[in-house]
Amino acid sequence: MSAVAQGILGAIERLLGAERERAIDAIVADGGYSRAMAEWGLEAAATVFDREAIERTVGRMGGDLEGETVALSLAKSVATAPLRSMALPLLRGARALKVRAPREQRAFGRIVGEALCAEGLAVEFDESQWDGARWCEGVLNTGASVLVSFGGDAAVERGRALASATGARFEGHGHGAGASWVDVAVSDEDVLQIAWDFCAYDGSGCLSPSVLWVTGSLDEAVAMGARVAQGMARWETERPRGAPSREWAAHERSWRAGAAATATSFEGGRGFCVVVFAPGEGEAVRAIGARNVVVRCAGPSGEGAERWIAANARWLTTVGGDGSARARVSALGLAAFRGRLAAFGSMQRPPLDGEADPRGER
Amino acid sequence: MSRAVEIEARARAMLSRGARGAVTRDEFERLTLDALAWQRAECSALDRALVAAGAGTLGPGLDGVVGVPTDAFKMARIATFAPALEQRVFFTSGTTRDVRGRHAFATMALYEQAAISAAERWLLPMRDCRFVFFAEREADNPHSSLSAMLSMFSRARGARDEDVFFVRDGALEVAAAQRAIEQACREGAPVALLGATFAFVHFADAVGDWQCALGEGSVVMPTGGFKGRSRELATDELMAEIQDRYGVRRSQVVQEYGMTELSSQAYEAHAEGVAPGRYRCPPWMMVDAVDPETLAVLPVGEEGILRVIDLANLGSCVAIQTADLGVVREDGFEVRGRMPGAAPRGCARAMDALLSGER
Repeated sequence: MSAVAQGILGAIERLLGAERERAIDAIVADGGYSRAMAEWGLEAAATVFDREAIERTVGRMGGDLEGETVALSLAKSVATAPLRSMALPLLRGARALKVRAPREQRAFGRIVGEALCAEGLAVEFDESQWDGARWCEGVLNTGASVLVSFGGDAAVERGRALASATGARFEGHGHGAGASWVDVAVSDEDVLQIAWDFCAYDGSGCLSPSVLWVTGSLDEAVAMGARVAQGMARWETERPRGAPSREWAAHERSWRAGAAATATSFEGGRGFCVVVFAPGEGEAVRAIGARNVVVRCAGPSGEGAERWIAANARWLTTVGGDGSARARVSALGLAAFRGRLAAFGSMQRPPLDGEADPRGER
Repeated sequence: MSRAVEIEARARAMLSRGARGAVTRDEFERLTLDALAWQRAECSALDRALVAAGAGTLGPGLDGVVGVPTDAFKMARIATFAPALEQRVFFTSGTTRDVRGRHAFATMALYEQAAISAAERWLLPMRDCRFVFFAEREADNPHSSLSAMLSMFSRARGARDEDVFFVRDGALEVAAAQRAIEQACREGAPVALLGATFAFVHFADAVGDWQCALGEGSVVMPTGGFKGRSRELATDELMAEIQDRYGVRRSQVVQEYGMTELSSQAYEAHAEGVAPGRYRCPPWMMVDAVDPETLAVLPVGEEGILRVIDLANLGSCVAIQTADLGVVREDGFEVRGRMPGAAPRGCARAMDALLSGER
């Protein structure tokens, strides 16, 4: 195993050991997550870095950043994403890594940077510049040969233009969303995992599902909504959602009222709700995440889900489903779909030796 | 007498006392609660929305009323009557990409009564004035609540829409409006210059340094936001621009508080000694600031989001929860802009922008 790989394993050991409490505090402080969710988030982000996965990753990616100085511009709010985003360029052979701190959630990234540096890895976590374009311009003009940019599509496009101007390589990862698709014959354990996909990172990650499509009749979709609500309630007890801001509480109440007004069924709890829509119903209702689950009836043959996936393929990062749903998405043969197909409960746990967002550069 | 007829009769009787009429809190409360209970029974979507918004979690009486959030008008049909009975529909402003709120009416009678009565108290107390409206005619934009209200004013005063509306085919007829204003100034006639705020900016940009001195008794009312249709000015800048350009005092510039989801309007009440920026409601309308999280009514002087009870809003819901921040004072209420944007955490925040609806 290379020194870099050993260094990363060492950093992971620090984050799960001596620095664990500090890291969890940082995740809570950064994102407003509950402590239980922060603990899960740290475990989920760190435990993909086992020895075998690292070796597979190095083998697969083959040092494609060997000797490069990589500039990494993180998105505005990131939860535990900095760990993967910072470690991967190093595993891919980067000589040095310069990181622009996220504008909002930077405490966890700082701790990751410290853990990597403590292992002798060349990481600079820069908190001095919140203007992404200006930062990218600065690092590209002072030796960075690769720019990796996470964020909104506009920011990614700005980064692409700046990299192009200096001849640097560029990798951009814009926003996206996931979707989940289930058949009514699913087991209770799978339903619990479906609910978990909506709860992980409080439903706010770019791999989080924005909608659950249910193949079946409307009555069956309503019944599925009730089962998912039970799952949500259980997760709310075990891993509660973080306390919402005052603004979010008002916005969410307003959204729930509108969704309830137009939905076939609505089930709400303190930290979640599940709304079920018949085909053609609630077309003006856009998902807002944060454990507010939108369930849509896809019809007895699932045609509603197929149409929707085809229409939104370009933006889909992940589709969660059982084997048959995943096979159906594959069978659609959508050129625009480059997302990941995931089993229930793992939508936000992409393996290390596969890209989190396989849409890659767009 | 059916419940609907009975409630409408009580509302009509209250409105017929006029904007200066007396309504006791007890009377207001009884009609509010009765109307709301009837509306919930008639409109299941409204009932579901109110339950989801927290109805029943607060105490009894007016303080326990939960308003239906304005978002509900974007997502569902909030109406106490069948679609076949719709006479008018107003839409909230927005771009083609935005989901727009929809407010349907089976009758405009209460709306008209409310609009004219409140305007006569605070906006158009003078009997004779020349109208200049920076807005589209009702016939050209039947889904605009502003155009409808201004048409009601012109009809009430015997003016012809063709003569007083100066936006046609989406464009402000600057030269014609300028001529109408100049003629009124020459003749010393008071002018009621009313319209969309962005149209005032368009006019200012088009006429450059042109100024006038509107006659004594004139009034200017810019209403609504800029809606991305013009450059934006802070309220102070807008007031200064209007005062300078039209030669009026601040007390002649009357701001209105209204919205598509309502049937009534509140106004600045300069003549009643109320400070600028503070609005008064007609007696069938009440505005409270509520806590954004709990919806509890806040004491006078504390900032919250505004909940409006409008007893002319019988066709939809008499209690509306806005996203406007504001403060209630002893003599009126102040609006402090919109609740700050509430983005969810995380990188899925652009989900709405990305996905082309859910279907």
